[in-house]
Amino acid sequence: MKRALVLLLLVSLTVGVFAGGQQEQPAEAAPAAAEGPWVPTRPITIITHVGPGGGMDVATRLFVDIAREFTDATFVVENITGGGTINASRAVLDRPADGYTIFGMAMSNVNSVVANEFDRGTFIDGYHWIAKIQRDPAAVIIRKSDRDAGMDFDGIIEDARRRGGRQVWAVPVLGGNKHFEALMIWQATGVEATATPFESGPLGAAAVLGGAADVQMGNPFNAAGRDLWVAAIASPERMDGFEDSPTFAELGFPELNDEHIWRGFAVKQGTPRAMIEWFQGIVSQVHQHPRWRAFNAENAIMPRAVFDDDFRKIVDSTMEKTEFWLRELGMLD
Amino acid sequence: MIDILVNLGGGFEIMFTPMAILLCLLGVFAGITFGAIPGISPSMAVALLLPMTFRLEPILGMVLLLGAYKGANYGGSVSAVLINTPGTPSAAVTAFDGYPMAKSGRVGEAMGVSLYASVIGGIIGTVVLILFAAPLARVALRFWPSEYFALTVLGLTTVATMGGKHWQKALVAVVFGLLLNTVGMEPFAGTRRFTFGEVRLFEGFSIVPAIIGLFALGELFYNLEHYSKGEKFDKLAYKLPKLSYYLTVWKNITRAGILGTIIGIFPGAGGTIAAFISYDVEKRFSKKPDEFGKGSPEGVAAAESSNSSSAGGALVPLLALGIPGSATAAVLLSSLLVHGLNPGPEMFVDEPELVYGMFASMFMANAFILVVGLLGAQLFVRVTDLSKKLLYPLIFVFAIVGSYAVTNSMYPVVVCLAFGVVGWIFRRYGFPTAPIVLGIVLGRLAEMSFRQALMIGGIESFYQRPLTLIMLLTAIAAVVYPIVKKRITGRAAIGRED
Amino acid sequence: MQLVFLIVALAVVWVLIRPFKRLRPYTGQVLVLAGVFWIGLLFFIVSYSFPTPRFAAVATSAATIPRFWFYVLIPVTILALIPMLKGEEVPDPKWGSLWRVAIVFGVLVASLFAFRYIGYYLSSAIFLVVMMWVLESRNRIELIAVPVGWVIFSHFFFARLLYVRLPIGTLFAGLFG
Repeated sequence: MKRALVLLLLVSLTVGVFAGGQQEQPAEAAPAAAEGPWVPTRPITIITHVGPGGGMDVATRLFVDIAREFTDATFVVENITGGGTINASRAVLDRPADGYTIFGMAMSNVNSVVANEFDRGTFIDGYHWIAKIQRDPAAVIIRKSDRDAGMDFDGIIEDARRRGGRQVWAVPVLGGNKHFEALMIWQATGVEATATPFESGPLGAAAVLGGAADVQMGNPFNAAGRDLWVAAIASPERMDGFEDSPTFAELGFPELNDEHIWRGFAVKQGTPRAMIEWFQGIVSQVHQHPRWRAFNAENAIMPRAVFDDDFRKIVDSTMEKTEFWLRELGMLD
Repeated sequence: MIDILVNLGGGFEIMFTPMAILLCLLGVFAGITFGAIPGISPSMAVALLLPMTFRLEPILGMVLLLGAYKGANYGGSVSAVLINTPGTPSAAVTAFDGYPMAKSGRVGEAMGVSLYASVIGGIIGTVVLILFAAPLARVALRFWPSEYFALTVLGLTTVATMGGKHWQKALVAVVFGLLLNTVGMEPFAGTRRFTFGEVRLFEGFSIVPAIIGLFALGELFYNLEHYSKGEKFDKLAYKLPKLSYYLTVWKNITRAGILGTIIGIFPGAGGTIAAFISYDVEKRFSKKPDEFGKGSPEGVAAAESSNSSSAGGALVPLLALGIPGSATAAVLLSSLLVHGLNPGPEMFVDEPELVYGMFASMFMANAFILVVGLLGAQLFVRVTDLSKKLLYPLIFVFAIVGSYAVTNSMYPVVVCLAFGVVGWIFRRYGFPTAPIVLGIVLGRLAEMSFRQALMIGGIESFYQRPLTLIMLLTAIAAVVYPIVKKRITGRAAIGRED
Repeated sequence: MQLVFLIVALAVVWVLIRPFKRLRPYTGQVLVLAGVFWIGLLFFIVSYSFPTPRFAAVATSAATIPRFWFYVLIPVTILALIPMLKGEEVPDPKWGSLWRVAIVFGVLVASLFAFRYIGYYLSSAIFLVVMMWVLESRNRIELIAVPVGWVIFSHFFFARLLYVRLPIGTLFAGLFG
């Protein structure tokens, strides 16, 4: 009898644990309120494809920290890396479209879908593109010591021409955005150079600092706080903190002036419209927040708040550009 | 020098506030606990605490994270010694000798050596960081891809001493690891290799589940095959040795600590390579090299000291250049970035309190590791007291849930299990498994740096750059010297017989 | 699929080395070498199907390194075979209680499959019970307390504290959903 009682107790305890665990799983689709504002009742998970410390990770963590001023909702940032950004995307699509899972993504995610020939019906059309939040301009970076010795963008191009393709440009990976940007610059200026992958922005900066690479194709952020100088920047006008760095337009290449990588948020198709509007409201508020502005300014990133179809158009043009350059490089069948 | 002491004094002033002490202790405690769980790497432990730091002052946030970083580095060795399940990749080297020691009953000794080596190594790394951060960072920048390649070759030569009598088998194992490393998206242009249409293979075989499989599951399968009921570890000596005992390994700890710091400063190389190379060096220096791999305290000391000191080394490029040298350093960087702080040479001038507060907190973290470690060791060693019929099933479930935690998915669990079978078969037939780990750890860096070097400077890079040449020649000497020495002593012995 | 090929290759090697009496005590070790070599060979062959992008001045491609390791593997395998041919290697060990390994492995794989259906907690609890039984634990208190303790521990430590999303399983998702 006693034994049976103990057993019963244990069983109920175990079941209790299951039930407890159940609550934190977003299995039950929250009934979408047809009218009225959306009110989150559970923590909202933002999944990102980069590890802690990556560009979108830092941006997302700061974003949710600021967002706490505008909402009582709790946000959890989850890093799901690997699989060429697809692991994260898949995780988002595997979870229910109840608004409690958001994909914090960047341009490289769209590149990866094209480069690895993943199903666009799933990995692009499967998303509602909520908001683009950042525009991170392309920047050509060299050593400060070279600048002080009289080197500038024209000097780089001249040097490239003289060395007949031996000038080394550091990019994170071949067949990625920074490689494309470098190719566009070479095409526009009519020179050849060698793009060498250095895995990440900081490591690329280190390669230029140490002299292993001559030029870094990066973002202004890579130069900030280091003995590096931005020789050209893709921006409508000169940027705060980088006043001595000319824009591509000033240098005579207006066609390069819009090259940038973007970051933004997306949710699975079928997510309640009320949730999307709620989140876009938060994006608009954070967009105006001084802390968000200051963080972006320090890293020469332009904060953005581009929603829905306008964002989707940017995604489409990213796909087009990626496909074009991958074909040019012979990396796509 | 005076400047440094004054600044450091300021740093300690910040540290001796109740809040800072509490956060440091919390970080160390959480770090050791998480680090001891297989699958939770130091970078994950630090990332878990990261959100807490956003609302703290920058320096307090760093105190918490640095405590967790150092704690997790030590915690990894606890499960490596006790159940042959390295909590972190770098702790794999600690398991080489730590686990055999525990198995033969010297569990207290093994825990004690790993704890003290970790703390002293950590202090060495911190001191080097404080004194030489700026010049060392400049040296690190002078490292071109050809030097990184030479470093990986140097790392690969450690396999020569790893197999002992079965060196041929060790070679097969390391090449096997290097081959397995090529699976997945290639680092240069993301070309898919040997994925056979399987998306999950894109990321290749991640190192943590592979190590858990090779070491823990391989050992378990082997033990199951030879299981007899009621079996226990040999009679156990739980007690940690007296302080004077550690003097016997002070040379190993110091050498490995310095070497670990130096290797740690190179972004991307990190603690695991440091541990492998230091272990190899200590084995060569040792009067009892035969004991290495069978339960040598010197081996444990070398592995733990270099692993722990490399954490200090990894902060050199982070603080002096803003370049994160490891996954964990990247998380630390993000905590600073969110506060609008951009590490680099300017930070030392603009924010001396922050920088020296961090240095001071690293000393304090080491002290707390000693305290928490000493108290914890008394408890942890009791794990080996469990009967095997309880211990084995629990190691299995720990390995499974630990692998699952790596990416919150089943894929690493499958990798862990597959490597478990490989580990068992290798172990059965006398092939060492450590070289596989070495191959997987070094493969990517070897490929990347080799191809970068060719791209930048052509084949000339490997003999025209003096540093590369010296390192490559050292690597050759490291392989040839033992063979020649054996020949000579062999001949001498024959000569005497005549 | 690739596993099937591997097994076929190993079977062929096994048949091939039967006539060599000298190698007989080393059958297992030769098969390990053959397995590793087969993987190297497979990678070598597959590497010829890699795309070759048009990068300027790239001396290497994605295929370079895997092929290089295969070239290294050839002499290394031969080196490892020499002591066996000479009969100087330690012979293969005798088989222990293989059934125990087989059962544990089988139950482990089954419990991993079961994650999806009955969830992590229940299947790991079942695995623990079976494994303890295989290891000849017959103490009822242990057999109940260990799995229950593990379930509670893993829930609070992994799921709650470390945010590990342990699978709940379709069964329980349906029950409580």
